[in-house]
Amino acid sequence: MKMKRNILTVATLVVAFIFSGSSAVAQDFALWPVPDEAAAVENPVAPTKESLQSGKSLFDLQCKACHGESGKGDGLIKSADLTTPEFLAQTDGAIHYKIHQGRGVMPSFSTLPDEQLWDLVNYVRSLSMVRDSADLKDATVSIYFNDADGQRELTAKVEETNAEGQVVPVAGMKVNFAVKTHFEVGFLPIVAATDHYTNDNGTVTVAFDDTLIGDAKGVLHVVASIEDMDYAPAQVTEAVEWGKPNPEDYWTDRRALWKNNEYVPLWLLISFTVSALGIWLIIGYVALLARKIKLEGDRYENDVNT
Amino acid sequence: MSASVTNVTHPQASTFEQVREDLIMPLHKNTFANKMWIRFLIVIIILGTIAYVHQLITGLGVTAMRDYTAWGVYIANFVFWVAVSLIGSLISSILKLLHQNWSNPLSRIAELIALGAITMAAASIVIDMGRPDRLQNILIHGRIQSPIVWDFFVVNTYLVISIILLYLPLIPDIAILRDRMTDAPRWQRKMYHLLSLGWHGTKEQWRLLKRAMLIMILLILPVAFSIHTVTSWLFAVNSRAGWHSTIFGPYFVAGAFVAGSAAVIIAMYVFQRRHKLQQYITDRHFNMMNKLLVLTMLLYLYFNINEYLVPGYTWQRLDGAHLEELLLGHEAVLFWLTQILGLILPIILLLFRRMRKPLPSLIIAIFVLMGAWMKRMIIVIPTQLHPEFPIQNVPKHFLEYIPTYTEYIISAATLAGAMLIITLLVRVFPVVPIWEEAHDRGIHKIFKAEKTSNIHENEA
Repeated sequence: MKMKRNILTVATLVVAFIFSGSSAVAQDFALWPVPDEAAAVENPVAPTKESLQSGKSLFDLQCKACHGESGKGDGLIKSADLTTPEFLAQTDGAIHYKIHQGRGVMPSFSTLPDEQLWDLVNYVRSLSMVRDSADLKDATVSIYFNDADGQRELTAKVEETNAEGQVVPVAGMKVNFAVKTHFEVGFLPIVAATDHYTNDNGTVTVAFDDTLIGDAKGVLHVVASIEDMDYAPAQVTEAVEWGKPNPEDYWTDRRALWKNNEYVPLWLLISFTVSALGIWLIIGYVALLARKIKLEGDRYENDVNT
Repeated sequence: MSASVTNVTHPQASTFEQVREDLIMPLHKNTFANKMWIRFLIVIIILGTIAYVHQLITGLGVTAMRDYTAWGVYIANFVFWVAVSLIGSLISSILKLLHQNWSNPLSRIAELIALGAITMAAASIVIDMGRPDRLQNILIHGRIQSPIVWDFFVVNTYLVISIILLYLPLIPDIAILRDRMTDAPRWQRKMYHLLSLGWHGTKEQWRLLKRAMLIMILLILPVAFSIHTVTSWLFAVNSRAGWHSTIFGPYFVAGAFVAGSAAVIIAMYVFQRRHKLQQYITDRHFNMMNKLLVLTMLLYLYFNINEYLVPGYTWQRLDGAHLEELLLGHEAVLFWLTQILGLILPIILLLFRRMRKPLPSLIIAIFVLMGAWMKRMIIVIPTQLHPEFPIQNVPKHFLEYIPTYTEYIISAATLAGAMLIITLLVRVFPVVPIWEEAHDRGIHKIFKAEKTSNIHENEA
């Protein structure tokens, strides 16, 4: 009897253990202890606009894939929500420590300069701040193509309308350059090696990569978009014949076999249907012959019997 | 057992009755060895079914197929079975149309092998599917442009044609069985009665049957060539190193005749011994069949040289990487063993008359058939490990393909399945066509139809 009770106890414990384990996984990640001295480190970088901007660039590059655009942990793999009160209750030092050290699937970013990590801490903290879109200022962006001296350059100009109703340039605005991808569903960032900010004239000029492949005529759809904390997102798309002509386009159109059923070549439709029907008609005829053999057999048997 | 049954065949069967009793004799005897053989096959099929159910529940993850090698041993099996099934068209159609009468006693063996093989080819495709419950979608949503749709159509058509081509020449024999196998179980007698189509060998019946057989013999040719050409196109229409080849159609067809001929030689040996048919499947048949095998192997060798020498001469990027792997690298041992033991050595050996005797040719045919299966693995798998874009950031086991036990057990079950189909059919039908054998021996005797005309009047 005692033995039985022991087994029951063990079984209960095992079940309880499994449940506790699964509920822990379902709820959240296990606690991540941070040494007191690391948590106590003060953030040396003030959350200025530049710091947040730099933090965002880094976040988009290194963190967004898993933690998601909004930082809610809804990226490609399950990851921590960076906007919960529990997360925000930590000190900057603790967040910095976690980014620096990493744990499990969360990699360590100890190779990045410390200042950039603090930028990241500032940006991550800003993720949960509710920003009212009405507070954002509006700016417009335009693209100019410059082909002088055989050096192709792309210039983006950012302007806004000030309180007096005058159009004035916006300085220090981050501009992203991209081209629309082949099926026009996405953007391929170009000149992404460093971040580009507008100068005092509100313009930023970058060299254009000649090796990009456009459509059959070499047309590329260049996109310039602005990215700033204080401004609403804005972008502009301009077509330009600066790409290499895509020599495959003609043949891609000709090679219609892999397109959907509406595009089935007539010759193929006819030859397939005719041969398929033909073969089965012949098989049907042979079945008919077999039936005639049977009828002839019946006739013979009748003759013999009578 | 009927009184006329004897245990030895007539050494010089000179009457129709003697031929008939010799060829029916094996149907009367269900030996212990035969029972055990059927049980053995059923056990393997049951094991395969268990493995398949496991695969169905767990998913294709139980196989070694991963992102790059998405076609594994099942597809190699499929190509192999389609290849073997083509022998029905070679012996029953091509040789008949060429009036190669020596092969007449072998035609049913070839048709039986064709039926068993094509059934397993169709099964292999379903086995390879992760969601076989969606098979009907190929009919609902299939695109006529897709070689998979052509393949689906042609495999099913060939299956039906194989059944008809086996059945038509059987009708007169079934009529003999209907009249002679009076001691058989009720279901068997009922089956004979039903399948004999009231055959009495009247002039009109012979006329109809001959016409039906001629039509099927002509029809099976384009369908047989289509089935294996389309099977080759499943590979060749992909722009992949080792697949994208214009000779893939004839290369596959030639290889198919090699595999099928080897299968027929193995079956000939087994039936000659087990059914005591030394009188009907003679050394001459082995001699001729092996000559046919050499002919098809020479043709296949010619295609092999084309297939490897031409890309090997330019040794382009991916073709080069693929050939390097096959000829010198990771797959080299397998490749050269297959080519030498399964093709080159058999050709040389079979040039000697002594090697074309039953036992040596059985051993050679086994090597040729195993080589034929290995060759399908070599065609299907290594190409997939040389994709256009370099393989990056994948687990190490994605970089190679080693079939799992599940795959081997299921593959073995398809082999057992094909052999079971053949074994069960030769339990109830004679393995050598009785009426054709009698005709070839010039023993003019027609069952019950003495009143009416004789078949040979029709043949003039």
